[in-house]
Order: sequence, then structure tokens, then C-alpha cells
Amino acid sequence: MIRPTSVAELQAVLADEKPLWVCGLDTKRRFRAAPPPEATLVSMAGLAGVIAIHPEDQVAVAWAGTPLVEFQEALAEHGLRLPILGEWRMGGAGWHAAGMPGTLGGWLAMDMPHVWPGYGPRRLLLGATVLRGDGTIAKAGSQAVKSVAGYDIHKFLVGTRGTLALFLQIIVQALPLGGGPPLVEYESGVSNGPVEAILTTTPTGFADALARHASITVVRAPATQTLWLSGSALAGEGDRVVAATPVRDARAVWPGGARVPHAERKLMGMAKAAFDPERRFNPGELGL
Amino acid sequence: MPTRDALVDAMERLVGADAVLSQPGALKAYDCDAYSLDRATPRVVVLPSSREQVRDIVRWCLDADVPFTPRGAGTGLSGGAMDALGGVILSSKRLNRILDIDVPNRRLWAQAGAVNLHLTQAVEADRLHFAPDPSSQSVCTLGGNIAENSGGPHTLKYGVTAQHILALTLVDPDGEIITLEAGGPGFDFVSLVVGSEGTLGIVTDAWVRLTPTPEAVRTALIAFPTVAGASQAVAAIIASGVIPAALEMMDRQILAALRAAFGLDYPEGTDALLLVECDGCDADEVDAEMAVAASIANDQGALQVQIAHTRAERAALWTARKKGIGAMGWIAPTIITHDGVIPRSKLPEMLEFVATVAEEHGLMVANLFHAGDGNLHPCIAFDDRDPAQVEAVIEAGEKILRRCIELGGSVSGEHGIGVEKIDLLQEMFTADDLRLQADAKRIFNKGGLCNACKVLPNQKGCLEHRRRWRGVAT
Amino acid sequence: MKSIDDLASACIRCGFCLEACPTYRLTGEESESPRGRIYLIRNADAGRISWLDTRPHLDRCLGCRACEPACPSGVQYGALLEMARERLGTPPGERMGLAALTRPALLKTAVALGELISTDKMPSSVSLLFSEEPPTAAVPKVQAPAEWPPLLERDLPPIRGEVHLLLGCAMRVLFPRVHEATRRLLRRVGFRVTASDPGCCGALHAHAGALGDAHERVARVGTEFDGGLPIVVNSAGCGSWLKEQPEFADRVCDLSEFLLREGLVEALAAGPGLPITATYHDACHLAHGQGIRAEPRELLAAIPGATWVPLADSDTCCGSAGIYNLTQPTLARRLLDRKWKAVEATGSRIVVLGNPGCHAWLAQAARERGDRITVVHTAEMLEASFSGWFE
Repeated sequence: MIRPTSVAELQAVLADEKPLWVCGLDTKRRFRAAPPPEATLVSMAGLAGVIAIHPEDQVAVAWAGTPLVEFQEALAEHGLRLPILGEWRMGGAGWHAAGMPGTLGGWLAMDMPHVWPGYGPRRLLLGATVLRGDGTIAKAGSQAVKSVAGYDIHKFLVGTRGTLALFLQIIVQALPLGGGPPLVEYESGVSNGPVEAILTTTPTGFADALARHASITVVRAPATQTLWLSGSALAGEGDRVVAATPVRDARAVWPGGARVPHAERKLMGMAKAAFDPERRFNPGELGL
Repeated sequence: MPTRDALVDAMERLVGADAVLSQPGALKAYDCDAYSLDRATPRVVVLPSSREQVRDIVRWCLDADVPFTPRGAGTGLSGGAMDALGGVILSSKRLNRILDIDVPNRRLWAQAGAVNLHLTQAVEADRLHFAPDPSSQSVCTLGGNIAENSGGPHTLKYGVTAQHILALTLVDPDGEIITLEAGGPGFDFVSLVVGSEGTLGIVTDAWVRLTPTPEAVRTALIAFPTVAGASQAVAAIIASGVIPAALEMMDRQILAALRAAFGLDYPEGTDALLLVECDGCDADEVDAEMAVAASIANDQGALQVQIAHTRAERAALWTARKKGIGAMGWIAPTIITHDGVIPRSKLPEMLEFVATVAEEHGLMVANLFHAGDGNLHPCIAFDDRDPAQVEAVIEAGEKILRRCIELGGSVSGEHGIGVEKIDLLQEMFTADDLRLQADAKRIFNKGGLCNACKVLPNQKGCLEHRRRWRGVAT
Repeated sequence: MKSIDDLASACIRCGFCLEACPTYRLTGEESESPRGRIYLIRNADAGRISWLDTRPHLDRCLGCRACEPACPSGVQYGALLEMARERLGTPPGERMGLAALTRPALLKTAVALGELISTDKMPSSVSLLFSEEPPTAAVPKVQAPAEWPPLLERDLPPIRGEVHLLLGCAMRVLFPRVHEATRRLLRRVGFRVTASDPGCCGALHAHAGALGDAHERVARVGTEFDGGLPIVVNSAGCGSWLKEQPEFADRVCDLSEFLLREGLVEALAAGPGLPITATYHDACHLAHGQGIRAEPRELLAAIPGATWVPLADSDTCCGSAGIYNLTQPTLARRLLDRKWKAVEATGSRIVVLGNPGCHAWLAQAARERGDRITVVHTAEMLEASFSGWFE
């Protein structure tokens, strides 16, 4: 696996004809498709480091390859934090089982389920610099905590798993350590198996699921109606991994690719063609 | 392009004569939205009443190469609902029903033309509300909120419209009706469509998130002798960990307008008013938050801190905020409300800059804004019958917004790019940045017919349109 | 005197008036909204469009002025509309209609003729003067007199003053019982009504843009109602118009304002009361034109034994709006149907209001639906609290 330590180095890898299969610290491998044999494996973890923290504005800028743990520590020195799933909430094993910690870029690209309702990555991500398939670098958003200047491409890229462009630098809004919305209580489930699927549901669907999956969930978050499910709760169907017992109103956040409606799949294809027509990034991911 | 008669005939066939406006007076009323410096009269206005009618209209326009522009209540402030090329205006005002309310799951399904406030009124009894609260909320539509990613004073805590849309149905670039869900397993196209200013398809209806209405609300109106003191209080309140529901500032000129228009009075020597609202489910916690805010204000030299507990007292304190822009309208023939965002810490510096620019151009500027977000709304008074003043207003506005860019902010926090800020968007982003955005537009809007000439103009007629209106008074 | 341009340029196009406007809410069309109409007036005034192009849209305006309280920048819409309508000129049919309504002798004849027509529908020879659409307004009915017992001096407070009462035009002919109730109520708080009678005040003319006629009539009011006495008005439209006249604006009171100020609440509390369930409709020219919402409600709430059910959208126009139900029969009927549905939803047997136009229009709806609900003026309702129900 190649681990570039400068943007120029990364651009040089891209200049090679082979497509890139990109990861951060590779902590979420089991949620992803298999890399195609011809692809160059690239880790973004070499492009790491906090660039600036503005405590008075509660805004931080960092390289996308920065490990989340490191980023949180840097923020904590300024009395700030990102309100994301943390070890202190889940217990170490659970944390790793759920595909955490990884890097900032991985958190965004994989759209990790968040713990505070209304404070998901799309709200916290204020801006980003990305690398495009043709080697150019483009910026979206700004340091403003609120902006409607043009299309929010940086927010749209969240959850696209590096199929359209790669996060290089990101600008996020942080929250004070001591304050913020009420914390979500995480309940540890019975099974300690690795997390292999994450479902979000409506509140009534969540109640329903708790009744059906009480013994096999790894973690459940009532405030965001998220369920982290382990293997025995799942039924495989090719890339369509779904809960063995149907959960009302459930949407599979992970693994991606499950149950994407046809019309949306058509749009995904159009997006791929518009952003990465040469299919330079992560071919095969999300079926693209 | 088909003839006007052919266009009207076709529309009447699709939706019936009573849903098509083609008389000159009727069309003239659709010249512009709340941004009135740029105007163009549509050739026809259509008021469909179903998703299928919207689809039929869009398909017909795609086939006939006719530009089409979605429009809700027309309260937008950047010309987004204006039909720049003189095609079809698709009004959502007969798609205004609430289709379903799901209280246990805190969601509501409404058509695009439903009024923002009506959504809240429909679920008030269940102690829920629709959180985005732009100042036009009593008239603006859900579709417009989605297009502009609308904010409002309370979005500081609860988030802008993007955080409150669970799913939406739109007529896509091929004229198909598709439903997109937020946070689903594929790409989150909802995050792209929300805030796209109606350029990425016509949204017909959406499921929105309902937010529990806080049990306890406390509002404080704080008078400061200096803008710097008020700005520092804002930063200190945010840094304390308190997330107020709203944090709004009004400057001396707004207070002068309020005095002239409505006889409202504030303590002697007040240079800035700060409105702080805290809310939550526990009255003691909210009181504690308010106590923190009040003590910070006192540390920053506040002249007076008034705290309201009842609904009526709160409404009285909100008067200054809610009537401020109107008061400017009372004392001036025309006003234009600008919109820019800067990092919060740059507030005092920025306000000083705004005052200098106003002086240079001989204009009266007042500021009333979402301080917690760093979202400025300089409001300039002028007479739009005087071309020289119009010119000065445009120049001053651009200077202010350029400064926002220099300070690391944005040229728009709420009002959008529309036609107003197309040039400034080009200054905020490089050609490569804009190409990234153009690629997104290409997914949904290949021919550029859907809300032509907005955000990123990609139609040949747009340049000509811009030359025609720019700087020209009524 | 402000010009059309001065008044129109006060609009900042924010659109806050839109949802307050009944015709915008019905049609969803911006050309049927206050902001749209102001914009059209402004463009016609500047010569950018023809005045004729504004006509259909100005004709469809109810003139209810619900947009005025909604306006943050204080556009005087009512005044602007009157000036624009004057500029457009009143169409001949409408002129005749105004004449019929505002000259008591003519109105009496028209009503008497109406009594002869079995169908209750306005004859097309009349309705066509106003609109090509099929008529929806019936010929109004004249109220029967109430059989109230004479007032006994020993039960009443001593006389402490005199007031002028505007008898007006349509009210005088169609609703004699309202005037009778008004006189009795004024006497109950110690006031006698003078004999001065200037006739029609010109409000309907002004609202239709016939400003010359209107000013001629209002000048007569000024001359007749001299001596600095209060001018009591029990018709919302007339009251609103008279309050716009600087010469005597500060002397004009709506009946409800006057009675509340002079202590009718106490008198009501001491009276027998009435065990009824009722609802209150805000006449546009009371709620929007004069800002009078609380006063009638406070008086009515003081009726011992009465239960008041709030009316949904109580301050949305019923479609009567002067002669709007003649000039715009279709829209007026849609507004009436909405209003009546809301009235029925309250489960009340009585709907109370303070304007003759709404009174006749809602009374027609009541008749058409089998007279299960009675429409009364605030004055009649209050007097019934002392003297008993009158049917």
C-alpha cells in the first residue's frame, strides 16, 4: 500500500494509469467492496496533521488523513471536541468493532452514524479541499458556520466513499467540551461480535427492533435510532446485507449498496460520470 | 422556442386553462421576487396541482427547449424565483397541502407550496414544530425553504433546513418523478438538492423532521454601550458551552429606525442590542444557561439586561428584532438586505468596515443579524427611482461581501446566489472550484433549462440578460 | 397629499402580506395579492404597463385591508387602492350599483322589487351590470323589527351626554333593528342620540375609487355632525372611512369602542343575560381598518350565561366587501362558503358581526342552509342580553 506524504506525491500516483483504491487507516474494510486486482492501494494517512484551530470561532482545519483520536486530543486542548462516536461511550472493543476510530476523511467518506441528533457530519463539515480524478484540486465551502454560496459539494461528498473525489483538507465546526446538546446514552448489547451492519430507523421502528433484536445488537442509540448489528442478526444476499428479521422503516447505513432504489442508482451513475468520468477512484465501490 | 400562443395552448392542455396565467397584468406580477433590482417577465405562469402535472410541464419544456423556473411565495432575496429568460414559471402555490402527519416518528409530509408556518401550526398541539424559521415564515413555502436551505434565528441551535429534510420527491432531469431519502445507503442527493436554489429539479413534496417544542424558553434583551462589547459577549457565550436557541444583534441605526417608525425606546447610550434566547426541556437548566449568558453580558459592560419568562414578555423583547427591517422600510423608500457570513471573531472589525463603506457611498446602513452564526444582514436604505443611488447600493454591497470572502467567510448565509451574487461566487471560488460545482449541476440540469441563469449560469441567453439589468434603475 | 408613487414605493416586496390576502389564498396567484397589485399599480403609474392591464386584478381586490396589519413597512394599501381605482375610473355598472345601495329610496325600491321575485336570485338584468359571471348574491332581506319592551326610565342611569349616530344608507334600510338596538344601548350607558342625519358617508364610493363623490358626501357628514360631539358608527366600513378624515377622525368611535369605554360591561353584568352558544366574525373594516378586535369580544364576553366559541380565520373576509359579491360573484361565493364552513364548525347557533355588508351576505348563507344559524349585529346581541332574544 502506498502512503503519500504530500499532495504532489499523491498526484503523481494518480498520474499513473491504474485506478486508485483509497483508504485511511483501513479500519472499515469489512464494510467495503473488495479492491479490484488492477488498482493501486493508497492510504491517505500520510497526509495528516491539524492545520489550525480557531477556538474563538470553534472552527478547526486539518488534513483528512489525521487520525480521529489525534484530532480529538488537539481539540480538547482548546476545550473543544467533535460530537462523534467515542471510545469513552462504547468501550474499547465496541469502538473498534464498529469500525472506529480511523481518520477524519474516513469518518466523512463512510458517513459514520452520529450520536447527536441534528449534529451529523453534514452539519459539522463547513468546507473541504478535494483531489479530483483529473488531478486538479478544488475547494468547496468556507470557514463560515453557515453558508449557502453555491452547491454544498463537500456535504454531498460525505458518504460517497471516495468514488467521486478525495478529501484532502477539511474544515469542521467543533463544539465546546463542556456543553452541547444532551448526550446520547449508548446501551451495550449482548453480543460482542464485530459490527457488520448499521441500521437507522424511525422511533417506532427502533422500538420494534429493540424487541426483535435485543439479544444480537452490539450497540443501540435511542436518540438517533441507530442499531449496530453483529453477524448473527444478518442475512446475506450478495452485497445486500440486511437484518434477518425485518425492522420497520429501517435503512441500512452500512453496508452501503444495500437496497438503493433503482432511480437513485441511476443518479449515482450520472454523478460518477460527471465527477469521475475516467473512474479513477475506488472502482467497484457502491457498485460504481 | 415555440411562440407564446403555442406555449400557452400547450400549458392549458396539460393543466387546464384555470391554472395558466397569460394576461399581461398577471405575468407582470411575477417580474421579480423580494429582490427587485433584477426583473424579467415570464411568458406564462402555470399553477400545477399534482406531481404528475409538474412532470408533464417539465417534459414538455425539455422537449420544446423552454426554460422553466420554480417559484413558491417569491419571498427570496437573491432573484432565485425570477424567470430570467422569459419562459415558464412553475408556481407551487396550488401544491400546498399537508399530506400526512406521523407524530410518533416526528415527521410530516407536505407539498412544496405549503407555508412554513402552517407545518408548525399543524403539529402545535402535539408540542412539535418545524424548526427552520426564516423571517418570512408566515408566507414562505417548504419548497422555497428547500431550494434556499433557509435558516432563521433559531437555526443556531436547531440547524438549517438541510438538517430537517428526511426525504423529498422531485421531477428529475429526464422528467421522471423520483423520491430521494436523506441518510440512506446510497449517495445523499438530498444534501445536494437542498440549497440548490431550484436548479436541480422541481421538488414537489417532502417529508420533514419535526422537532419537540421546548418546554422552557427564556429570552434576554441586553443593551451594550459598544458593538465591540456585544460582539465579545457573543463569543464568550458560545465559548462557555451554552448553545443558545438564538443570538441576534441589532445596531444603533436599527434602533434609530425603530424609534422613528414605531416610537420604541432603548436605554440611553445603547450602541448595540443583543437578543439571547435559551430553551430546553428543563426550566432550571435553561435558567442556569440564561444566568451564564447574563453574567457574561455584565462582564462585558452591559447597560441593561432584561429577561422575559412569559410568552407575552418574550414577544415584547423580540419586537426589536422582528420589526427592525420593517422599520427601515418605514423610513426609506426602498431597502436592500444584504447577507454575508464571517467567522464570529471578526464581527467588530467587519461592522466597522460596513460603516466605512456606507459613508464612502453616502448610504444609510443598519445591521440586524444572526450574531451567533456570524451571519450579517447589512440593510441599506435608498431610493430605487434614482439610478445613481442604485449604482451606489450595488457597489457598496459588493465591497462588503468581498470583505466577507477576505475574512474567510461566505458571500451568502441564507439568501442564496440567485442572480444577485453570480459574480461574487466567482470571486469566492476559483475556476477549478466552480467546475466541481458545475459538474454537480450537470447531473441534474444538463441543458440548463431548470431555473436558467441561477447560481452558475450555463445558458447563452444569461449574459445578455445580465447586461440588460445590471445597474439599471426602474 | 401623497402620490400613487409615494404610497406604492413604500412596498419593500417582502411578501409578508401574501397569506393575509383572501384572494391570494384562494387562487395562489401573485397578481391577486397585495404585493402583486401594488407592483402593477406602480408600473402602470410609471407608464410601463397600461392601466387597463391592472383592471382585472384591482377589480378582484376585496379592499378588506387584511394586508395592512401584516405589512412591516406600513404601506397604506387601502388609500393606494382607492387612488388607483379612481385613476382607472369606476365602470358604469358599478356606478349604478353604488347609487342603488347608497340612496335609501332607491335601495328600498330595489328590495321591494326583490320581494316580488320568487326565486330570491338577483335578476340577470341587474347582475349583468356588475359582472358577466352568473350572480351568486340574492336580493337582501329587510330585518323584521324586534318586539323589545319599552325602556323604563327608572331602570336607567341619568342622561350624561349626547352623541351623533351615523344612520348611513344600507344599514338604515336593511337593518333597522341594529339602529334600534344601538340607541337602546347608548341610552343604557347614559347617552342620547342627536337628530342630525347627514345620510350616506361615501365609504362605498371611496372604496370603489369614486373619490369625488366620496369627498362630497363626507363633507356633508362634517357639516351635519357639528359641535364636537362623539360620532358613533355601527357599520365597520363607514367607521373606517370616517376615521381617515382628519377634520373629525378623533371624534369617530365604533359602537363597541364607545360602549366599552362608557361602562356597558358593568350594565351587562347586572342584566339577565342570555344562555346561548355563539361565535364572532371580524368584519374587515373593524379588524384591519380600525384595529378593533378586542372591544366587541370583551363586551360580548360580559353577557351573563353566554358561551363563545372562537371562529377559525375569524378575520378573513367573507367575500361581501362592499359590492364585491356583485362584481366578483364567483370569488365572493368561494369566500362565503369557506366562512360558512368555519361558522358551522364552531357548533354555534349564532354568529355575531359588526358590519351591514357581511351581515347581509352571511344572512344569505344562513337562509340557503335552512336558517339553522342566525346572523346578528353586535348591538343586537348585546341588547338581547337585556331585553331577551327577538325571534
